[in-house]
Amino acid sequence: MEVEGEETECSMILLPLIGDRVMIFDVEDVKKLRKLGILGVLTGTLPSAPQQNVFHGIPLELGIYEVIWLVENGYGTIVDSLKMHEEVEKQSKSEMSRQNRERVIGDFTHIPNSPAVNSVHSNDPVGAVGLREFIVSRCPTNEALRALLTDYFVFRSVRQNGYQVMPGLRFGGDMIAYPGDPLRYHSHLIVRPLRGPVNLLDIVAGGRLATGVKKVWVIGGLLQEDKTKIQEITIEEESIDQILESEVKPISFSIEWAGFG
Amino acid sequence: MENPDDVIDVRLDNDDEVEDEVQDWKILKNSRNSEIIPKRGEKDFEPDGTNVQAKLIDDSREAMFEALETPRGYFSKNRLTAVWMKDEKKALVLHPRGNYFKDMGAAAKIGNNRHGVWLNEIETVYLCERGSLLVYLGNSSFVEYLESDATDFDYQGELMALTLSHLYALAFCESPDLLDQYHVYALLKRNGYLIQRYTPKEEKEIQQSSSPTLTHNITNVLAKSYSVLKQLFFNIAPCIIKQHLLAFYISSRYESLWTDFYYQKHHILSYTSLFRQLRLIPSYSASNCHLQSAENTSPYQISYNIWKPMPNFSKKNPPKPDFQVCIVNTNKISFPKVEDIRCLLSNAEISDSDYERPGETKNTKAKGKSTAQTQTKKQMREQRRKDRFNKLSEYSQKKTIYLRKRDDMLKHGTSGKSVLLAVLQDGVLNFMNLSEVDFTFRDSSRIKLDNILPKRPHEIMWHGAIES
Repeated sequence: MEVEGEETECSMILLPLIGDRVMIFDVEDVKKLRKLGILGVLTGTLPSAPQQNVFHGIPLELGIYEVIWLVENGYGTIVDSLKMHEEVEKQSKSEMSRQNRERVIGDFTHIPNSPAVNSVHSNDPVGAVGLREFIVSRCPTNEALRALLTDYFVFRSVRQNGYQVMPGLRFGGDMIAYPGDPLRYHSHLIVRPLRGPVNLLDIVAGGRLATGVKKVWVIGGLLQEDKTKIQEITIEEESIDQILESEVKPISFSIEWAGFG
Repeated sequence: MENPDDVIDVRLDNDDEVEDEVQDWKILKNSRNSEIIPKRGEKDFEPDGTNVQAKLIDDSREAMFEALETPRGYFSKNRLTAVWMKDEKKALVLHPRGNYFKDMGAAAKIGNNRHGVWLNEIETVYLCERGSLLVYLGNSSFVEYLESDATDFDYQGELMALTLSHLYALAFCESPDLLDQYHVYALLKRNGYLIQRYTPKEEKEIQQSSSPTLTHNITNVLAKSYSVLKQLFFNIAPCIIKQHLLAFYISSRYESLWTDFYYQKHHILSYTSLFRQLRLIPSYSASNCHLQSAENTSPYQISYNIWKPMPNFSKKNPPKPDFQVCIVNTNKISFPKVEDIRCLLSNAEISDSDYERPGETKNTKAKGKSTAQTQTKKQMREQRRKDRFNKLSEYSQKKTIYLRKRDDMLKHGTSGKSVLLAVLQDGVLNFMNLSEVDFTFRDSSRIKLDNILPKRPHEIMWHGAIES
């Protein structure tokens, strides 16, 4: 685990669920996540430079593995964003017009990212969503659930080995792993979780591609006993929490393209 | 904190790669006054445990957080407000102003002669996120105001101004697919494109012909029976005949090649005629495949029509789009099947514009921008290339243009139909281009090539002069 992770305070990070994904609007939360090595992807328009696509702004979109990891390790709580904001709507009229006035500073009208901290932050937020509920909403079938759990254990083990992880779309993998903050380092690994036998041609394709972009292709999967454990899990059961707590150790191999002679 | 007059104009050296890697935010901080974001910051291979490196990371993070904390909003001279109507899931702008409505919004007429613009979920979030639009949450007193004849309304006292996260929740919580569409929309808008939601052709026709006439009905019937005939002809007939024909064709071609050699009936004196003889497998034109798409149940649909920036864009009467995009989320759906791709392409517009080489467009832009500046190496190379080209004979010039045009058509499609596939994974976005190529250059593509050099066998490697 990241050494920096220990510095974070114990207050829960609220993970607002919008539709089927979690998006963070509070810059303070973005800072906390960064310290934990949870990167997410900034997807919003940067108000100071709104006509470019190199640097993006708030919100920060989190991947499903990142959300599970945060909740599982007690750093965050998922909340239904709509319910959370309905609470905010209930505030009194006088409070509302005071807030509206405060948003105009001199000549500038300010549009805040998220509601004021004191109006929502607490360790028992309105509209809390359980982890199981969240996972099942994303994986409506047993098959999808098992695939997700397999992928998640690979994600978790990559993180446990000290890497920080981002979506791998641009490099043709499920995830890419960095040895530290991607702001400073190039990525080392293109990770592909495996759910079944691997096609030999995929190994060649992945290995060549990764070596071509100076990375290593990593395939990871579960050992037979863990596989059996996961095969028993269904979406109706409470056992999802148990398996997340249990010690599942994926096995992984790195593949590099090498020429002879 | 955007102020249209002094928006930081960030253009890229090489946009292909910059967006691929995570960039160093210090660059943004340093480039406030400069025009171009440098290619990329220096990165390290791995942590080396030094304080220097730790400090560099801290600086980068600080720069990032600082950029994220820049307040969102507008100065009063750019004031623009909207009211979110929960029931309609749209925002009403009563006093639209600014450049944004060229391609956004739909005209609204409410109550007694109150005019404004409706913005859909995506447009509202986009404008709010870039700090250009303040959105209030509508309530009963606002609805009363709309229906009344009152001229003034106390927004600040009566309505709650929404935070960005609140607006996201209202707009996207019940329809998560809209979020994918929003990512694509916002990225393209940030690049300056004009965008409108795509409406399928049939719907458009229904909208246009709200009062059906007899002639319309007749043409409709005619058109339908024609398409049925066409289907019969193209789909059923080839199925039966194709296989036999193919076998026959190949054997006959082999035979003719063999007999040609053997009896020396036909002297092969150039590569062109050799290649011509080697054409063994019959091909068919891509445009014939689109006829099956009568019922369109594919999960892959075009979402947006996209235009390059243009001065006189009309929302009501837009020209043919430059691009059309279909959105795919890797978490939910895989790469489209052939049938889906056909379906997409059959719904795509045929673009009139020829493919422009990126090099050429860039150069014209650069010239307009900096005539006084000294030529860059790239421009000098380009100039030399042009000089060389002008020295060629007229025939060689034509041949050069011809080969370039043909290569472009092979690379970017011959039918002029193409659909962009916007691929999303957890907020990361990549584009792919699906287009169709007819390697035999029939129909319209033949005409385009014939215009440059007529009567060539466009479909084969053309190597030197051909006899007769």
